[in-house]
Amino acid sequence: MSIRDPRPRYRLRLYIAGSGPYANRAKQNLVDAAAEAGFDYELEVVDLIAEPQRALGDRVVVTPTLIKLSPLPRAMVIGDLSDRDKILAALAAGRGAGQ
Amino acid sequence: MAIRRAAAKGIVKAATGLRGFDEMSGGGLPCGRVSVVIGGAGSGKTIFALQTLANAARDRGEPGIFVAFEESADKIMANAASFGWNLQRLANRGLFFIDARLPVEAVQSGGFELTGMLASIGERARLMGARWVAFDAIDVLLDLLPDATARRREISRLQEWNERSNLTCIVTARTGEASSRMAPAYTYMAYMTDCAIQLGRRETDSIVTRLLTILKYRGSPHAENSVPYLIGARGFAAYPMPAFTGGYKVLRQRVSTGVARLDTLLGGGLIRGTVTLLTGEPGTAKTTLSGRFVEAACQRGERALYVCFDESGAEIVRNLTSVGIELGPYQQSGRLRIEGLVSRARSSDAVFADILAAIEENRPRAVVLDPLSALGKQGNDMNAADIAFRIVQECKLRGVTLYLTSLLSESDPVAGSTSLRVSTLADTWIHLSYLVRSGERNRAIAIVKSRGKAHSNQVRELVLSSAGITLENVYSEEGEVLMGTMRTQREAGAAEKRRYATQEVARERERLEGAVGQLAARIGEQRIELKARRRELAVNARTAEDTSLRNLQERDNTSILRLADHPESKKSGK
Repeated sequence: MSIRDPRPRYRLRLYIAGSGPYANRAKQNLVDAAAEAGFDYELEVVDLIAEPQRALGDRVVVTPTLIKLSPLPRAMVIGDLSDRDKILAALAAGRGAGQ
Repeated sequence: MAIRRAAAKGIVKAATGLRGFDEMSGGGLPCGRVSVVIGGAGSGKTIFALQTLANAARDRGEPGIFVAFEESADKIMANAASFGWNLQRLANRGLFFIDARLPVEAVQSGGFELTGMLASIGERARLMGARWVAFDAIDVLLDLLPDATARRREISRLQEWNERSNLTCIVTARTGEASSRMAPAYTYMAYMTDCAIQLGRRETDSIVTRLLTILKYRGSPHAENSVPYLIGARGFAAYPMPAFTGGYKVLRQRVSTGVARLDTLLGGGLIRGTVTLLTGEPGTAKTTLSGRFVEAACQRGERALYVCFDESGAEIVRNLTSVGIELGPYQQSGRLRIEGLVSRARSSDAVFADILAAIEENRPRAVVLDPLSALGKQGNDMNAADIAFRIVQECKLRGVTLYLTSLLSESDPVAGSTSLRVSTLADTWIHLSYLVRSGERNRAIAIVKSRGKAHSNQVRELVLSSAGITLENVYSEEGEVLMGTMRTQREAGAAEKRRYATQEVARERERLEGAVGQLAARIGEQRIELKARRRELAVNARTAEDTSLRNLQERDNTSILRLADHPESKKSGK
């Protein structure tokens, strides 16, 4: 995949709600995708049950929501990240080497 | 909080402040529960939810959160600006908008849940002390879920969250198409929530009537029928049938029709707050009588409203001037409002809403709807009849004296009036007609009925002139009613006959006096003759006596006896 070449370090934020199946699946799917695609990332997990006021700032509507903060442009992926191609495409979006 | 407790079940209701809705739902939406509003595109779901929250925030200081899944807060406010709810001001105190649209760049990867958003809204509600929350166009988000099970689960989640947060919640969702049927995928919402409201539409002869139906309302009685609603100048308004007919004050005060003789026929005018139906063919002076009625009201210092259809107020004012009715000055002073409404290509409900708005704005004591039959043109007559009924109710509730005119076909006036079923609603029914004879059409006026008043049952001729309206007696001759020139002739003829009869009597008297005189003279003559004859008789008697005494000695007894037997023969012998 094209994202391998520059090997950027992604700054990511994952919004979840509590520790239900969606939250767990999302976390696991992210780990798996990074391992498979071989990208490096720094992750902040925000639990909206614990910090509900944080949703508005990033306009988070559903959980889980993954936000790529950098490199720009920002990207948002909603859902439990079970569709790996979609995650990778979203992370690569806006980069010259991407599709 | 403006809430009402339903007696039996203890359901607490939160008023929406939406015209008509609180009435048909027995007080509003279930407090602290989820209500779903479903309808096609453009059916007014957003307005229903937004106006409810705006009303609560503005009128009762109940804060609310409006979560918009489809449109931005700015766009929603811009769309609602024309309704005059003052959302910009409310947005700073009591009405909080959350833009819950997914960013366009958002990519979906797998299933999701609403938990995070609900937690965040719950926190926001707690901080601002919100009582209301609306999720507008939740279908936009739910459509992203893979299947019906997932959607159902999220609605359940929302309900559970709502039970904990104790907010009165409105969820709106669009049905698949603009039909009144819910898209099957969303029927579960109606099953799952405590109150389900459907905003549908019905199209008849390309006239659309919007209909609100309360599909369900757990633990509460509610209106069962579909009720027309509109998105009008001030937003959402439903028009349920008044629940009962007798809630108004019964008045006794009399009101003049403006035509003195008509007042007399009605036994002293109309009763205030009653309904008068004027029926008749075109040109029988329905508008003239109506115009005179409002002019008279204005002359008494009362406010009046004249609603005409498919004709401008200016035309009516001009036309009435020709019969001496001057509405212009009252119109300028604002005492009279003439409202020219378009009835064509509009639903009866929209027209009704306009009429009601005009009544509410102007607070008239006298109202004319001319002609009411304009309502019957649209949709089906059944609907128009309901609206006629409601106008009557609204006027009675306000103590407004109402004139309704109705155009009747020449062939069957009774069928015409019963088609709108107004004749039974009317307290007074005045029928105007033409009588054609000898090349003239003359107007006749008759009081068909007048509840609670002694009234004349005689037909009168209605005469219009530049001096105004007058009623004339009619002549009936050999079972026919005479009017116009015939009446004038008949009147002239009668006068001639009277004159002739007077002369005839005089002549007869002369003749009789003559005869009496002659007789008296003859009697006088005869009396003289009688006297003379008596005198002669007396002379004769004395002569006879003298003769008998002289001859007494000379005649023998037999002679005397014979004479005694035949005295007449002696007398007549003279």
